[in-house]
Amino acid sequence: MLQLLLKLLGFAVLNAISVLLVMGFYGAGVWPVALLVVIVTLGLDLLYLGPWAVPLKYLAPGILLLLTFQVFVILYSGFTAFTNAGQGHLGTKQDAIAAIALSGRERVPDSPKYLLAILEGPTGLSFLVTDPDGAALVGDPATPLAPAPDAERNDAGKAVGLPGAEALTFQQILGRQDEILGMEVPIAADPADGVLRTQDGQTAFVFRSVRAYDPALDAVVDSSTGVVYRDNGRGNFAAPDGTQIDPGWRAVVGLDNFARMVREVRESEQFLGVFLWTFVFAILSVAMGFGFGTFLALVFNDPRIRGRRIYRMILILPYAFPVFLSVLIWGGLLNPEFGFINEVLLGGAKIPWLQDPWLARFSVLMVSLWLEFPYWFLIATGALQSIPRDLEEAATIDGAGRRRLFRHVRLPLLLVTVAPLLVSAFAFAFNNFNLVWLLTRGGPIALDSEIDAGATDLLITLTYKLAFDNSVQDYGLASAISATIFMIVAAISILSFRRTRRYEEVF
Amino acid sequence: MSRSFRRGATALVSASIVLGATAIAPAIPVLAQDDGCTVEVWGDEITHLALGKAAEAYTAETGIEVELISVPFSTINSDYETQVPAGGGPDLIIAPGPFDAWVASGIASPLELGDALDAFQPAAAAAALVDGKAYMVPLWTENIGLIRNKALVPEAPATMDDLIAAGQALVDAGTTELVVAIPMDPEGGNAYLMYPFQTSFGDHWFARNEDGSFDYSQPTLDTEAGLAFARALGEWGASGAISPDVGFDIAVDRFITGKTPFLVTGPWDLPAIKEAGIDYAIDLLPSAGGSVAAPWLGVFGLVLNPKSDCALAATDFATRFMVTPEAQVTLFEVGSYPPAHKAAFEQVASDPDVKAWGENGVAAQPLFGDPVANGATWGPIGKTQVAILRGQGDPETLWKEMAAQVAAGLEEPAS
Repeated sequence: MLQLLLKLLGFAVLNAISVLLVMGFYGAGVWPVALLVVIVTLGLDLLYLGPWAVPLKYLAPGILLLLTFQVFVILYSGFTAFTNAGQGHLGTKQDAIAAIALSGRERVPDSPKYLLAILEGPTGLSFLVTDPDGAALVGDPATPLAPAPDAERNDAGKAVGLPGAEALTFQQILGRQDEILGMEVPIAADPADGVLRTQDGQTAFVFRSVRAYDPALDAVVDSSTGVVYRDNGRGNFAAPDGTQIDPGWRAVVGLDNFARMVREVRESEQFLGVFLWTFVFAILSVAMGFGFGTFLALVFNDPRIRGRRIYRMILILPYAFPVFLSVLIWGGLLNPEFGFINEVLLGGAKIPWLQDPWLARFSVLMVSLWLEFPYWFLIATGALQSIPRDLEEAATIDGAGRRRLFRHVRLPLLLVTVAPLLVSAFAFAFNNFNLVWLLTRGGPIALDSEIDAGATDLLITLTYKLAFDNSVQDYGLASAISATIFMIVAAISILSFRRTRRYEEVF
Repeated sequence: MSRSFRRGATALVSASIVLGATAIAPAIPVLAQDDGCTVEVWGDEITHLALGKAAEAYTAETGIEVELISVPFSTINSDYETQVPAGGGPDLIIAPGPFDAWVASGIASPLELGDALDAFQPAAAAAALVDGKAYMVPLWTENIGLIRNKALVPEAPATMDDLIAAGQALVDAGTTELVVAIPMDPEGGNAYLMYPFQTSFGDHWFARNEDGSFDYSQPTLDTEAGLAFARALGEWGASGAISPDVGFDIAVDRFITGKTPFLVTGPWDLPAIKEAGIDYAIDLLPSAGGSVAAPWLGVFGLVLNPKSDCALAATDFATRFMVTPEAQVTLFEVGSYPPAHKAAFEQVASDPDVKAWGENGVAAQPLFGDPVANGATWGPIGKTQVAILRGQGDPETLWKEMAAQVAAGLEEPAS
């Protein structure tokens, strides 16, 4: 009974949150998301309130999280790979049009600054302005500015009210800011003379539109030169001579990003280098970590060693520190001039651990070994202890030496357990962003590198540089590389998992 | 459980939906309405504090909250660039102008400042403009200088040679570790802090128009002046006077622990130096090549997010409240920033630090906005400086290769 009550209470809370979210999303104008929340919430309510679909009750939370954090993210970056998203193409077409409207609007030269009061009358909002000479004028979007001799003024002489209309307080103005920021009050019968607009609700300036979007043409028209900038299908408004207006918007460009990536691989040695290094790093990092970890596990599995527990505990320590902390500390230790290794251990040597391309690759691998071996040590220790002793004894009786025992009994049995882990460790090492980024930032970078690719850059760090770290960001290309990484890792994982099934036949 | 009980439970839960909704119903109008809006301002670890006093004063006057948010210096710009198009980001951001790239991406909103810009120092006003339109309310200007530990070196060095001699003597005597601390990225160098030494040879990266702005069509790196700087870098690297392995944390740490007498930096490191109780002086940057050592001039200001949902209050805060001398003086009171507003600057000009920064900045070169020129220069120049300091090749050859790379970068379109 208590359980049921708790369940009901939980759902009441969940539903209340959902209602809040729906209102929020709907209010923000993103009704598809609001609809999604409604469907998901109702679905969950239905699922858990009835006696039906028991297996789904267990699976639903996992599926929901999978969809949100995996499937959606993958699909979204997959989609981005086919767009020109990046600097100058960040937002939607509406955003671009709004930005062009903003930058295409110019203050009429030498026009006065008006002090502004905003009034609400029977016909809606109007601007009551005081010009620099002290004259009061009133107008609204439909009626051009006209003198308002009966305006009430404050002590400073600013017109603040009109009979029959209510002046808005600053708080009220804030409450209706979208409406007020969009208001245009013509200063004369011909709107081409200019319109009054306000940005802060207290002053108004005369603006004229030089460039404006024409919805009928789906083009931006420059009224001073008469040039028409049309949607060029690639996320920009462009004039017939090719001049583009910034900003553009995110547009689908098909396979362009992939084509560019292939071109870069072909033409740029550095990109190819990054590609190869990523494989070398992933394989070596896993192989070394696994090899060393397993070796230590074998050694410390020997009951003749005293104080095994203490050794084991010490060996696991590197694993206990947060990775980013360890890597940053390693970066400091390897500083050629002030690092502990050069200054103290090597007596003031100036070995460029992270500055020479080959030494940097070596250092990255060594730090990766430091970080990875405790994991494999743990896993291998556990796996070794689960190997039935009678198997080992039988092998020994049959005359197997230590080496044969390892190669033909222990290793195969160990691999049954760890082979899938090796595959996932490979996928992790392939994308080991933290290590490389925090230790070398991918460097050292060749001086003539056009894409900023360094000796230790993995594909994933290069992707990050392209997307976020360069002066010119290119999310599209970065997503295309990510998609490629995903496919490579997925293909390798599938193949390896197939192969690892072989080991299971041992039993 | 009986059927009817289940049905009852179902009904109960349905009721709970309504109940839950009713319980939060009073909160909905608050969420939906705008007039409680808070002006959100982003700054980095140091700059976000600058507006503290002004923000309080604004809240006292209008009742509108101004929330100052610290975003790491290393990511503040890229965070802004990624979040604004997605509808996020702050209402205002404190960033250094000019903003050509942001305008091209549509993530900075023009601000109509009327004649208010005339009240600002000319360089500050110029940094606010892109194509003649203002996109920033200037707050303060900053340039680097030479900070000296008076206890270690009593006299200001007149030239770079004097500085190295004084620093080297202390190192040789075992008193200090470093001749001079110039914070650098071990890979990317620091083309910003090295710039005054470069300009003292007469190379400003580009030829300059009459108004002091760059003529991007004429890079001047591959000139005798530029090469002379490259040779000097080679010497400094070989003698160990300037080390590319002095990172940002190492540099400040060595200075405040008395392990170097000189630190090349800007106002942002002063709080740490004052806190450490170092008896410091801000000296003129010494000339290495005979001409004036001109640093970069950065102008920080408030930029309005075009997608701000509190645009009116944010604009009011930036364009009406922050352009007054009273508000700008608080920038100095809070963080020792020399205000960009002329009248406010005059009020604090007698402060010795402000004066010293100002003297360093007399010939300062304003940071430039062109995205292509920015993309083509900073990276290659900084990296090459590091390579020369490390002795990875003949200085002149490395420098000429870099100059060719910069020239090629200038030819390329931005995207």
